[in-house]
Amino acid sequence: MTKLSRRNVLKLAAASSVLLTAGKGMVSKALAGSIELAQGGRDFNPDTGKERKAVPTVCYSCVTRDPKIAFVEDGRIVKIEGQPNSIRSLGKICSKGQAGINQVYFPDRILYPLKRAGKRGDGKYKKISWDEALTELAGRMKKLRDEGHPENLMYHYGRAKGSSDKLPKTVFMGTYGSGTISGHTSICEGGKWVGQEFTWGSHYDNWDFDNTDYVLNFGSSVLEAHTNHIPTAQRLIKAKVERNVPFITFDVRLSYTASKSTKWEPVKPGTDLAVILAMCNVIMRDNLYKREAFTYIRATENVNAPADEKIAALKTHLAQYTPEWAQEISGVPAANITKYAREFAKAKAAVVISYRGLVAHYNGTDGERAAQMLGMITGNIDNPGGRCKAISASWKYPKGPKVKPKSKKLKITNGSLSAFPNHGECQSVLKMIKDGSHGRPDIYLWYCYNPVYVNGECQENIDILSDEKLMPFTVTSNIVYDESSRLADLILPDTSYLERWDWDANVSPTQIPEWEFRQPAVEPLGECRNFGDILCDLANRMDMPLGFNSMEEFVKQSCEMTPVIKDLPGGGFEYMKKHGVYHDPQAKPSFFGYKKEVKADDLQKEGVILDEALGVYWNWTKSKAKDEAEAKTLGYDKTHSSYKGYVGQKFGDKVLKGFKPDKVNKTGYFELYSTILKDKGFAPMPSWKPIPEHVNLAKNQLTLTTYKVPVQIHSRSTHCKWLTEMFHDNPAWINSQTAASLGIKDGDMVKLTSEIGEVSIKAYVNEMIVPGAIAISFHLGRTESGRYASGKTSPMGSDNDPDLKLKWWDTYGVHPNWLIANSPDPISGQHRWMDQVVTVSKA
Amino acid sequence: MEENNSQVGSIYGFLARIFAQEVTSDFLAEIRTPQFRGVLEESGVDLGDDFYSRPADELLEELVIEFTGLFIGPGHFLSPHESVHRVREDGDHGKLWGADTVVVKKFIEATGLRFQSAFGGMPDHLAAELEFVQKLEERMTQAQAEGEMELAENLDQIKHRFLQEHILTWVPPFLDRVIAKTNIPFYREISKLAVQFLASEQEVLLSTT
Repeated sequence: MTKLSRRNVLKLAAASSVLLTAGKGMVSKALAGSIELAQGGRDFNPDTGKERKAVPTVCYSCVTRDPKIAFVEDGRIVKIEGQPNSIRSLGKICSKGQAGINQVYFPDRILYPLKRAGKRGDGKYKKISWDEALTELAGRMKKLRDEGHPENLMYHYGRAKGSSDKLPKTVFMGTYGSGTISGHTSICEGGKWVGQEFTWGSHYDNWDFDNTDYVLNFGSSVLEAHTNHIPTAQRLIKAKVERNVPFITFDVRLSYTASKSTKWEPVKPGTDLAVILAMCNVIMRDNLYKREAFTYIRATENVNAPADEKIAALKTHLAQYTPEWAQEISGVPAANITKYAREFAKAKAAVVISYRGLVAHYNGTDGERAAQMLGMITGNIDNPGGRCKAISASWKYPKGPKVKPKSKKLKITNGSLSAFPNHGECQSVLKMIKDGSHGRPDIYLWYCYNPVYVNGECQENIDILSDEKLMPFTVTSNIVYDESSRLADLILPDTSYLERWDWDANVSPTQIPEWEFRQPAVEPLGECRNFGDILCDLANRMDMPLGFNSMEEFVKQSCEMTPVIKDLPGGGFEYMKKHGVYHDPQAKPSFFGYKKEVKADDLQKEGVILDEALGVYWNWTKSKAKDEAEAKTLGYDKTHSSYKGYVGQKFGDKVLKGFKPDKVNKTGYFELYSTILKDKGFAPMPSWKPIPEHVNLAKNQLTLTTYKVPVQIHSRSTHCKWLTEMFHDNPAWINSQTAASLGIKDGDMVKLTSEIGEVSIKAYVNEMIVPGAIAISFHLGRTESGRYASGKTSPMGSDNDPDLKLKWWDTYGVHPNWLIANSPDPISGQHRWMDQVVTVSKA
Repeated sequence: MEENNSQVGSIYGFLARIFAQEVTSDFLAEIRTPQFRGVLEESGVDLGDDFYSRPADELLEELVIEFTGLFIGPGHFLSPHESVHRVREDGDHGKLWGADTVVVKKFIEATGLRFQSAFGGMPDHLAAELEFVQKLEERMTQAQAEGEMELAENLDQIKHRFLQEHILTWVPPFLDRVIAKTNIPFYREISKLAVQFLASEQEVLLSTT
């Protein structure tokens, strides 16, 4: 047969194309729609060809909560993929998201209610019925409430978001009457949020990588472990690869993020603040600032100071922070500091990003304030391509009975060592309980949290939680028998996130909100019950019905109440079940919210008054003022909780929304000068503060720094075999020069001691960490959490996982928290994860 | 993946059109243009002078009758469906809407496409399978133009898989039977062209795998 040449094929193709175009529509086609391969959404068993059921849901591995799809075959989840219709994740998920299957089927999972049968902590439990468990718990709770001490029920949560945050915290605890509630933000990034609350108001910053031209990164592992990881990481990579956007990372360690950056600038621990201050100085000194930004900036005691005065004040304040001075402190070359500052200021749009590397320090709150300053003086705040105020979907939800008791609380959640613990001081809770000066809870209930493991001073945590005199009754709802479950009197088996209902939402990387929905992909294993369902049951047993009897009902009612959702085709609940995500296709990205004018009507509303000295319009009825006269006498800044009534800020002859305050009574200006901080004895402007413990260190004293890896969740994933197979050992990183000076070679065992404790760990000697620092990751050193995590079988763990025979690792790593003091940043209460000094020697 | 390969989508479209239904007067007019004749002849397709000189109505009548006799019936016709012609080891073949029909349907639908509600044929009809590859090629061209190289690679792999698992397993021998059976040059020559084209596609496939 004649062979068709390539040339002829191409000619024929061109002619066929003309022919098909000419004869368009002359024949009906067989196929419709378009190929959407990149978006997935359907799956088939490769052997049988049988289609798998696709269930839209939302991840709950880390706080990012990427929308995704679980594929179910014969009642078992077999695969997880990203949700193609999500405008946040764009259909992508990470390894932790894919390993969600392990969260359901790991062999050491708690499947039945367990009651302690021996001494607390000795691991003896008996299986009991749900009725038995909840009868006992409801009985204890009811007794406290009926005796007038609901505050003696303490609820402590870790990862709780969306409806899994609101139902327990706001509805259940609100109806019960206890305000003794603690989260975990201070061991995460509380200092960052407080830094923002002092500058631009309500917390959380989105980084608009889609539109940026320059990125400065201070201590964020944005490409591996950020709180909005997949949505932001992919956009940053795209900006760098497709547009060659410069991306400079300042970090103690060559993280994966640093390695993918245009430049890694090694910086000594706790000195990023010095670098930022010097950059701001260069920008002000060289007149590279955006003059217009100073309209909205407060930089002086006098709120109404003209722009020139504010500029002059800031110049004067920053003049001391020269690049050469910063080089001396941080180790970053002065020439580079100057170069980056100029490039940042001159870029059309630039974004400064930050996380724990900047904020988990003694000077962390000022570090974040300084980062905010760098953004604002260059016009890179809330603008396309800059650091933006977070936009997220808003859900309405049923709040339980209208009439609720006045909440009582034990003052044990904010510690005693920080001035503005706006997000609590969770690492101090157990210490406060031990101290006892402010009372102790009779029932300590924790959820999705591991107080022993995730805070510093592990041994003290164990000692306190083990002591039945200090902690009379301990209860947890959990899927895994971890270091803290071991000390629970009652363990209530929770559903994994793939077996439960939730409404949810997280910050949008594009400034357009997305509503997200979690639903059970499969029935709960064993006798597991969702924590929300348990609380509804407990409420009914205590004769305080919440108005719904399950998390499913709560979520359904929320869908019917939420304006954007309720009118979706087929009804909001059914729509979200089918689609998993929703965003308004007509919505435009939200920028420059602070420049919007307040409606004249809003200034005339009852209770709204003007503080003439500050130019703040506020509604005194929302504050703690007794009456209008008191509000006027005290003024906006001195009235308790006046920020809750903030309406707008006068800028010249206009009243704009400004930078709306949250948690503190700041004005509507972007405050680089804070009278609130000044009144508490802190520097009003972001200012250099050295880490006290880092001054005059001996040769064998190193600064311990901590980090996360991309394939583990902080403390909730080592039971996942796919993840732990990838990461199950964490030798301590030490710079080769430092190691040589201490006689340490790669692979040596080293002893680390602090005032808190001692650990032995293998040394990983390299050049990827600054001299004088030592780095140990989180995640590992588990003493419980099942065979994949610790080698130990949990009570009632089963052998139903054939992969147990394939487990090849017998190293479980080392946990740094045994060494780290529960010490807060004096401003925010942020846990100082990166400040601990340890003495290092060969073991 | 060869960049030029994406241009062959229109050949799949042309062939899909040939085997989807009988020739219409519009389509016939397009085929008989001197430009298209030139291209066909360069490719070795000789439809004969008669094809280009006969009155259109008369030729059309002959083509329609031949198409019906070849692919629709009654009598001994060649059912243009994979499940009829492709021999399976499990014996589940030789019938309409067989095991391979289901496999093809799922394969095509898994890419996001669906069958037109007005499409009365079966998913493994020769024309539907060719049209599927045409769609893959078109999307590949678009992906390349938009710089979505990962998607383009993915589409190319799917096309290769579909050719290997389906079209190449049954279409060439099926067309050989058409060539042997038909009484007129048009379906014989076009079928020969299709066989040659699929052989060239197989060559590309083998050179890239």
